[in-house]
Amino acid sequence: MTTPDTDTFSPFDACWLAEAMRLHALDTADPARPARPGAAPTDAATILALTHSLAQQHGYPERVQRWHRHAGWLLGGLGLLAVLAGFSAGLTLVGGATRSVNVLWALLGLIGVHSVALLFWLLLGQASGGAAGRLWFALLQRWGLGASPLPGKSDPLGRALAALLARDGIGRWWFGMITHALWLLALAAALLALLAVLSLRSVTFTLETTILPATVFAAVVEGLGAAPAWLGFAVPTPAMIDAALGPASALQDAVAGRAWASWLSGCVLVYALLPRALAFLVCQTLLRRRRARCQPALHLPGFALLPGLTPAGPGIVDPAPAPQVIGQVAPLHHVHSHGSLLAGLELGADMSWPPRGMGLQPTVAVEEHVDTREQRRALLSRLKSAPPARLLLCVDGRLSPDRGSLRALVDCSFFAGELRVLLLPASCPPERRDAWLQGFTDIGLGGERVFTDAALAGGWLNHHD
Amino acid sequence: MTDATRSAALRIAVVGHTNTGKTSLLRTLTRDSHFGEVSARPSTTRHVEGVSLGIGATRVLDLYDTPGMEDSIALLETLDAQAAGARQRLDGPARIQQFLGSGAAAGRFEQEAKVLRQLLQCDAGLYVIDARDPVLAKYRDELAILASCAVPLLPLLNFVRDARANESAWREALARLGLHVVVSFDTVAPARGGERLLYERLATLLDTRGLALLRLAEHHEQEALSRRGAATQVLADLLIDVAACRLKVAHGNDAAALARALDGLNRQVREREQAAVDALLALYRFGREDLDASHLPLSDGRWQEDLFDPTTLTALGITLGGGVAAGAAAGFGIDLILGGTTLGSGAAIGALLGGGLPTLKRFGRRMLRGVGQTLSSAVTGSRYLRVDETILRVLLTRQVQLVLALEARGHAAVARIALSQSLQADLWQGALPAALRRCREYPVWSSLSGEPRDNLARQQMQERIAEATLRAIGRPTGGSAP
Repeated sequence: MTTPDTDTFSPFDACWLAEAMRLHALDTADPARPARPGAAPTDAATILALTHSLAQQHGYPERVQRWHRHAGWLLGGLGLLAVLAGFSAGLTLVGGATRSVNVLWALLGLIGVHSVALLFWLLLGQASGGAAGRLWFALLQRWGLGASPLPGKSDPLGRALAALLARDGIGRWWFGMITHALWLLALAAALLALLAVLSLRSVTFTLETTILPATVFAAVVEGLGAAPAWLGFAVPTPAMIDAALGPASALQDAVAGRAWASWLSGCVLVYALLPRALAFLVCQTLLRRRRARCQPALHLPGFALLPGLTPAGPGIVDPAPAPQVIGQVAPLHHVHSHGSLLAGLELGADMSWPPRGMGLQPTVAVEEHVDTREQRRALLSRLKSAPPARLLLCVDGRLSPDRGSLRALVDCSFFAGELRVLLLPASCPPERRDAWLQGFTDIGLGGERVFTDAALAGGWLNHHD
Repeated sequence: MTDATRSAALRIAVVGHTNTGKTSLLRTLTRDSHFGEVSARPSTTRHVEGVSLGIGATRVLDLYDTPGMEDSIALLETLDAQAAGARQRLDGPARIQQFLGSGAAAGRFEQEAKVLRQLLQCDAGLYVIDARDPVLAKYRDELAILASCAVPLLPLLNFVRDARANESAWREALARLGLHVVVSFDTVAPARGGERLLYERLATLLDTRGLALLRLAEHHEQEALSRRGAATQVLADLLIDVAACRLKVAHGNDAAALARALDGLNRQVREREQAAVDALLALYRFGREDLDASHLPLSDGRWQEDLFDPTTLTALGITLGGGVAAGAAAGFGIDLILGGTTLGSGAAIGALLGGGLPTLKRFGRRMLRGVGQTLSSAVTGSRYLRVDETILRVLLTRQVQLVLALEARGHAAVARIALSQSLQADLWQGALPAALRRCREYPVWSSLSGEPRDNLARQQMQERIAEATLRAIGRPTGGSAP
């Protein structure tokens, strides 16, 4: 399969793909978990390049080309039908069995419907192309686009095309161009049929009436003939008009016949073919201009969902290390002392010291806050020189536990009979408190060795063996 | 990605003590709620992960998330000991390099070594501080270690809005360490303009290379505008769909059929609103599960209050027009159209469901006013349902409220009700009500009753409504101030 290149796509098709990919992104977005997508788009060129490459992943460009192919075939088929219809209309109107042609009736038949349709288009031309446009559109969507790649959702390409056609009047000029082209074909075929009949058969032109006076015919024929006359077409003389109105029309001479034939062909050319050709050219020019300046509508939601709008990050550049071992607190052991010591580790300045409500007896030694490296060293050397039987370290539950604090607890535990910890204040955030409890468990402190109540901790320190 | 573009991007390491919100900061700056892993537990991030910010696909800034520093007192002690043992006097970076080459960097301080190694490779560092913490010796040691990397460092004070924040103590301590440029930035709910301030402060540390950051800030502001524009398009699309919707009930004289149709329409409108909520969440890059119920008016990505519940209206400060009886709650918010005239909000249906057909006859005279539909209704017995205007106001107000909440990422949580009261009054004026009333005349525009048709006119209307909404939101509504 050949992948279509960006260059082979017109600005309009690029916008079509962009709009389709926008709708595709909206349809496939998982509301539960948005992709890591880009930022909001601010640059059309970036979006067009990105949507084109994304569209290729879903086979959209091939389907756009397929649509164009099928649109071509459909247009060709319709054109053929138009030619056939026009030709047979021409044949029927002037080449009937009677060989006598009611000239105004024939002209009305040739350009009447066309004129009304043109007038309607001029007054009411719609972006959707009206009912015929919708039919054409639905037909191509079914047949030209094939199955939607998103099951259960209508095809993004179809919806995108509808949205683009609605934008900037593109639809109006597009459908206009198609209708005018088909009418042009039909009218040209009718004119051709007319000329064929007039060249190869002898036809008698008549004018018939039941109620109208002859002067009306003279005015109509001369009035209609004025514009074709500038192009060199003949206008029947009043005598010819009178003759055509008369009962003995079989006596029409060759000059009059040629004049009538020239008048009729001139009228079809000037009142049918030329206005249609003009309308066709106007539509084509406007359509070409609108399509060339087509831009993706960046202000619509969905573009931000496209992956690849932001650069891919470096990702993980340094993987996580193996879980780090802090060590375990020393088991209970005997020391030659019965003393108790209370110390605070990295406490907030707003905490009263020693903590209120502990009911400490004077026998309990109280160390100051331990914060800096020097204070930690001082505490350790005090413990080393006179290890207490009971050491209570108080930590601030509002902070996050870290390896450094836990390791300080472990270090101290080796120079005391038993280390216990007190987690303060009671009102600390529950998630921080849980983190501390987990940290204590990791270093082997749990159960009764963790106090959260100052009075209980004080009771333990006051206790004598 | 070529090496040239890679080296062109500025590299910033986000460093700090454990559990201070480094990953949260990266999520906020990248607008990616799925970056890394965030938890209330310390040492959640233990690896170094980079993420890029750019203008278009061009990388401008690489941000690196690093593990928290945890053992800085002991680390500084080790560094000092290593320096004392060195044969010559070493400057800061040389001391760090010496440490990184030593066994300690692979053992006890492996996590800290990752941070230092990354910071040495970066153009600058953002030092994230939990301003609620006291200025402990371990934080000062941490800063001393990071400062010896000789990489410009911008301290960022997180959680400064908290009552426990010690902002002045931190600023003083930072100044004593020579760090005079400091930025306050709430990673969960940044103040308006906070991001720009952060980039500006960072740029001052980086001299000429910092210009890229200013461009990035500019670009992000453009994006914010563009996102708000897209949000109003989502809103306009929703409003047109609901306003234009007209449901035909084939056997309108049958109370059961009418009730079924009513149920169906209620459900359709609710689903349509949910689709809009999902689109807005996706636009602002939030997943349903990312949303914190306390910060946003949603729970699990859905509005908690039912759209058709009368109390929702009063909560939003929308006053009801006359004719809505308490008993009409069953059909609240749905208009029954008979003969082209509305019978008033839900009253007719409530009456119909309660009292059956005889009650409906009271509306007979009004039925005669409409011509075409009356005839067709009379012949076929069909009725039409449509959504009441008050529901449109609820839809509009709720979604605008959501947009504002998403833009502030949860900041407006406290002022939620007060905000919505003034908001709804501001919203329902100007061109908007008239535009929506026009939509009601075009049932083909609604996607609730099939594929919408008449695209051009609908699209023009969508632009008009989006613009009117944008103008209404643009007015100051007492939201967050810088």
